[in-house]
Amino acid sequence: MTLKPLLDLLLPEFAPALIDDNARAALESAVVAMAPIPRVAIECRLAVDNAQVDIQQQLRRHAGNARLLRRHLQEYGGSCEMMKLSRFCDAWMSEGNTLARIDEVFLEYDVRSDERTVGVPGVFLALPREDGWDVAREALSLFHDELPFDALAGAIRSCFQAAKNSGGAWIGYIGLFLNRAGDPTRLNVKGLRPHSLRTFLKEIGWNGDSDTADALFDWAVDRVDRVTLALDLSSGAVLPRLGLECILNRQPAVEKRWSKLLDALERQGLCDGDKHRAALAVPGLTMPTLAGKPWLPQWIARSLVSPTGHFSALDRALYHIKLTLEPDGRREAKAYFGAQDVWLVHKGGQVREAPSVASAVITDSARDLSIEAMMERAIAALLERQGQNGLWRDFLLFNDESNEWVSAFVAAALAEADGRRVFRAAADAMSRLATQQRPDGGWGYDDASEPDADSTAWVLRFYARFGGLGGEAVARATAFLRSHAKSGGVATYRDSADLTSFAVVMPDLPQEGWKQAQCCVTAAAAPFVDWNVLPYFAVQQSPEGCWKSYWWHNDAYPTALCAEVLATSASYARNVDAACAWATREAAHPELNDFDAAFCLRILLLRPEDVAMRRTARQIVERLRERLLPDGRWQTGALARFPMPDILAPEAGDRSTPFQDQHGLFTTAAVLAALARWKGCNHEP
Amino acid sequence: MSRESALRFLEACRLQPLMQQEIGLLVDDARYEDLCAMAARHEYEFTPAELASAFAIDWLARWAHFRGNAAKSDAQEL
Repeated sequence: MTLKPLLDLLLPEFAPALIDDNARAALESAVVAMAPIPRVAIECRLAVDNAQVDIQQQLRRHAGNARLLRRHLQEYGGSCEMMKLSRFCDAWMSEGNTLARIDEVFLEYDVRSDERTVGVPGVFLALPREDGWDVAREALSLFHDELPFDALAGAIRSCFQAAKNSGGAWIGYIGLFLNRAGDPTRLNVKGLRPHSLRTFLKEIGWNGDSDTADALFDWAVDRVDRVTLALDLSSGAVLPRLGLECILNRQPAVEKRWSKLLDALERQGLCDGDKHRAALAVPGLTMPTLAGKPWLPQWIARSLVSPTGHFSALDRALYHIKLTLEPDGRREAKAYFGAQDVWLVHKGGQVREAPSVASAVITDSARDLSIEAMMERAIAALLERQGQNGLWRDFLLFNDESNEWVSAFVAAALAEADGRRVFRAAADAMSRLATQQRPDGGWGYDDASEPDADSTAWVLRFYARFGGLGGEAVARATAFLRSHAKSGGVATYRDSADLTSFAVVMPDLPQEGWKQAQCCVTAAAAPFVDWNVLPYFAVQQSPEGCWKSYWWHNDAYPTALCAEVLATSASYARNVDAACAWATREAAHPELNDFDAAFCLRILLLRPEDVAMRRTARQIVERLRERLLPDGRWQTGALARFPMPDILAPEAGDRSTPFQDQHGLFTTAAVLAALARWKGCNHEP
Repeated sequence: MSRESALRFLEACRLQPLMQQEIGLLVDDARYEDLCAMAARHEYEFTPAELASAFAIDWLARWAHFRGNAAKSDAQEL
């Protein structure tokens, strides 16, 4: 049994520009030596004159792949290196062995189209984030058993230490090239922040050009979700060659940045135009009905023991683009594509991926968590999703995902929840935002958009909690905000704003909707304006007690912010009472989402002395406790809307599709901030 | 030998616990020859090519069935 049937399904999706006939033949020869585990990655060089293609195989411990590889090696293995790999499988399978903490292994095969021979693979081991060195040391002692490896181990250990010292970085993979001279070792460093790179490289004894490395790392971090630094070590020293794996979380069909990244590489002469187009066309799903080749027998068998509503499909994905920086300054770009089986289900009129075995076994219950523990989880979830450039991304609109507005909102919540513990993350966010402040003093939905009052107000709210902006920057931001005064409130955009940076706004389209005063924006900006906005809010309150939102489908968010402003003056106590009564009614709604629940909680906390309000607030907290997801987030619930700019009152019969925070970060930040206020009122437990 | 026989085999595998057990033992190691041999033990005769073709048909029939059910369920909710 070989992987040839997998290639038969997969390779027709690669245009000849990426995989020519020679490379195809070489791959087909290569898979003969591979275990029949149908999960692979294909590595294509993107330069015009380089047709070499390599293949990797992905093994997972929980899927029992160690047993299959072990058996395959008994049949095909024979060399000393293959014996070591076999011994590794034994240890990997054994419960209680340190190596059992490795979830995933990649076997990397170098395929030469001229020789059509395949040697021993490179072995890449996924390391746990905590105590990764212990696992790496165990693997090294197994694979380097006949030679002293103290020098190598010392160098590797210093890399682990340097990653730890850099704050937030860790070694995610160790790669052992059993097939290359000098037994080089690869370390993949994840989560490294741009400002830590230079110190990290110095600490590990890397002696390449730091300026070039810094510039390339910054360049990459700005363009993708994650950048992993790949280092090679040999004979106890770090080699001068560096690699950067550039990863985007979503696939090209819904992520424009893949195309932009490849455009940039094409302009630099690192990517052939035909390969660029071919690479973007690879991702997708192959179904058995249209495959034109026999489905894999393993997948047929698995289908027969799965629910009849689960459908086997082959998922083709663009994993990452790798940039390599050679000691002489040359650069190379490669694309890595993944192929694996997925299981689809029909749900809610859509086709979705069935939960994997790993996620199905999560039995975590949040019901017993204290407020502190809930907040801990939410903080960890938000920190985990902070980009290496210090910013968060969420809400996919016409242009792109938001980075400035979302980052300011998330960072403000983190600073409110636990300013000390999140200091480094908040400092990174503020430092990055400071560099993106526009000449006129504002920030926008994202760094490519016209600056607006709402995003700028949230940066100032973040600053008010955390600091970190220079006095001159704060003054310019405040002046920018105040220049949006309109009818006693604050408009999102001032009259002079050029809104054509938004894809939907034509130059001659009236824009008075976006340039009028809005409650939700005025409330966010209220702490920073120099006129009395309270009368504006009093007039705008609806008879039901809420404030209607321009940019949000639901009214909890503007109502909470407006009521919080009015609560600063006893003269508006009746308005606040009316808002609390409205929030009490909203809280009883069975379909209240977590985002709106968070803001209802904030409203009710304006009357902590009221027993009924306190009871309702407690019920909301219990509801949020039950709805906390195992990964520390709350379900996406922030329903933004983007009316055309000439629309003055979208709430009147508006039925447009809401834009959700698809990563759930905005909702999670909103709940975190509300829980911080609940905790601040001493309502625990 | 026929694709119809392979289709009946696929249906039987989903319904009969004994055959489920046998398939469960194969799963990650399954080859077309193994599936055909198992089928033969249960008196279903077909070639690997017929099994591959039958699976594509089986997949499409189930897909259409579940898509139809999902659409009905959405319509009822509306």
